[in-house]
Amino acid sequence: MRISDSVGYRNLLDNLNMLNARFERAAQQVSSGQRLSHLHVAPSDSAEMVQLNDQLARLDQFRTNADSSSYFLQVSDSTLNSLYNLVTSIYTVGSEAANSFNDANALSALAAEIRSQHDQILSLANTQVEGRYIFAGLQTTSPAFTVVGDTATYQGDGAVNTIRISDGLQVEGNIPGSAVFSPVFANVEALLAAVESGDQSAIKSSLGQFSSALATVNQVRARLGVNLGKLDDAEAALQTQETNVKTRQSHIGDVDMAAAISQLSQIQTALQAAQAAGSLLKRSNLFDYLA
Amino acid sequence: MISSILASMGIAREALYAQQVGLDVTQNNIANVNTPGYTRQRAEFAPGGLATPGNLQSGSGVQVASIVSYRNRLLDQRVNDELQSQGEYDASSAALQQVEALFNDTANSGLQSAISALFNSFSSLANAPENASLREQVLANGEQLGSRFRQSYEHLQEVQSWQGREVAATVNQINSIAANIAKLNAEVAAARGANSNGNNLDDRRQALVDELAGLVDISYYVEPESGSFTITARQGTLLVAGNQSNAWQTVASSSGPFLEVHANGADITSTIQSGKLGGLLKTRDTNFPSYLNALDDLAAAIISRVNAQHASGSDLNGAPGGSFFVPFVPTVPGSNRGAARALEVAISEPAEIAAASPGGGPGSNANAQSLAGIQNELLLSGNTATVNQFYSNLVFRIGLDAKSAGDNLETQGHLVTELQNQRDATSGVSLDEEAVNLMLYQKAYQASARLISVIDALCEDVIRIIGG
Repeated sequence: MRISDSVGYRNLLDNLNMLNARFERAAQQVSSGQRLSHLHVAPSDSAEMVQLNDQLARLDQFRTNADSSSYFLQVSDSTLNSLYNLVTSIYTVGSEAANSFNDANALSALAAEIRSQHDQILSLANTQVEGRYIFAGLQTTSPAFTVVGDTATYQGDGAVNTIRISDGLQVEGNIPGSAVFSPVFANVEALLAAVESGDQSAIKSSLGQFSSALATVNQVRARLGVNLGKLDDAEAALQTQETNVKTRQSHIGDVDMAAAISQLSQIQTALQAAQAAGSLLKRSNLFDYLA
Repeated sequence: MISSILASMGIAREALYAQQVGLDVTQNNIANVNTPGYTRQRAEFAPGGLATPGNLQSGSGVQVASIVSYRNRLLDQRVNDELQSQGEYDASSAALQQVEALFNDTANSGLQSAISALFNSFSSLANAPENASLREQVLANGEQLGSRFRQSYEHLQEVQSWQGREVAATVNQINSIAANIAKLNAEVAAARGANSNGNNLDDRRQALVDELAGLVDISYYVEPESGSFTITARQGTLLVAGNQSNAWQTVASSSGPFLEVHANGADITSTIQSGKLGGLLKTRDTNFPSYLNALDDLAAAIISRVNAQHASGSDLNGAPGGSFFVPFVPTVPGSNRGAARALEVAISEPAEIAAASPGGGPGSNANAQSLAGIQNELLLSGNTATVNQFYSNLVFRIGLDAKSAGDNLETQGHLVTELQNQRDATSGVSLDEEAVNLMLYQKAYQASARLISVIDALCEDVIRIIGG
């Protein structure tokens, strides 16, 4: 075949351009560590990355939700623990009042003590976390109970929010005060009235009701415990899912450094060879030998 | 006897002249070794007519029959065809690379993260619906989503209208090249008529036709009589015939924002398939509108679904929820055009966010929960894709378009190089070959000159003998 002088130069230029472009791409990957520097590198991986980012944001949100619920439920639990202890000590005071040796003064002092403990129950029932009354059902912007005379009245509702903590998994976000505080208030108020009137049989019969109120508090705490356990499990599961997503992201998004560096050095070798070939290209022709 | 000696002098003179032409042609080849489009030439020598010295017949020396150009019209055509696709891929690849950067959301600063952020902020609000700062966060994320939509949309439009401006410039370039080709057609025909060498003109014309092919898909044929190139656009519109060129116009479209390409008063925009102009038009009229439509569809789906859900809840004050986003009213019935730029939060008071179920109290989160759940609903592509799936599919399409344009461009570059090499195997200048030719002509020239001095000596001998 006849070879014209332009062919060698054109091929050289073509090869140098191609190798330079590949070298740039490979060098950029190595220096940034990012495989998907442009969508065109791997369109389907880039699209998957969009979905993975979204999934990661969602998992992160579920963890935020779980953390938030966990906080509210833990405050609820410790409040109910205080309630239990308070009710137990009221029972003790009531048992003292049930002693027929008490005179009117002693009974009146015991009644005053019970009244103050009744106030403490009210303060527990109106516990606020971040501005919300956590035992008011979903009427969270007003106190759960108000007291007129010695009688506490529930102002909230019986509704419960659900909080989503993963796809398909949710927990109850609040305990309506009507379920746990109302029976307690009723018992304590009955006891108070009986102590004030010095009616021994009424004192005894109202003390008899305490065990069921305490059982209710325990039941509710057990339910809280179940929900808190669910949250712990969910957090662990979310962490695992997050790790999986991140592993996948790194798999498609990160440069395999060993492979990339070896590729870079391959391209560099080819580029140097092409440049060397270029320097040798038709270094001589017949004119060099003509006198 | 003397007359035939003088006839020999004539043969020697012709020989000197012929070798001189050979040297000239060689010199021209060497001078043009790096000229793009140059086709090497060669002086074609032919033996002269018969001379009859006495009873014997011998040849009467050498003549330069013609100077031929080593042109392969078939390879010219093939190179020309491939240059058209190269121009097309080059134009579309350049435009798509500008766009893909915008949709490569590696820094979490794009549309996808804004969409996630809005729905996740509804989910956060569900944790404490009465919380004012969570409500503020929802509004801020809604506004952020609007600004990201506008940013993506306007960036796409910017590249699109840049493509549009290039269309006008390219049509001007096509017209000016076509006019030059028509002029060269006339010059080539004139040179042929004057029986002179039109080879260099032909080379210049071929180079222009190649340049034209990079701009628009053309086909051409050579009129056998005049040697003129007749050039038509691929779909048949005449561009150059003889010494006439037919200028195209760019005309503002009556139906859209962009220029149309007109020839002879007719709109030929949609018929232009390749070359730079084809690539510009394809991205401007097909790729970009499809991306912009996707953004509009996405925005319209988000606006209408979020608004419907929002309206079915009640706000912090127990009032029924209004529109969360400014409702989108189509300007073109049945089309979502304009939705992406219209996405804007309608409410300004955080308390007006309808997080609660109707009558659910300030702590109710049921509607916030439902609003957050919209990201799992199959709202798009005929109820087959979630918001995020739809968006990631758009990212995929843009990436794939950019990839295929880039890959095609690279392959096409190699193909063009290969064909140009093939063409140069016939048409290109080889310095070695020219060096050999140079020696050949030089030696022949020296020999012819020597011949003249020999004939001269002979003449002197004859004159001296006769005179003596």
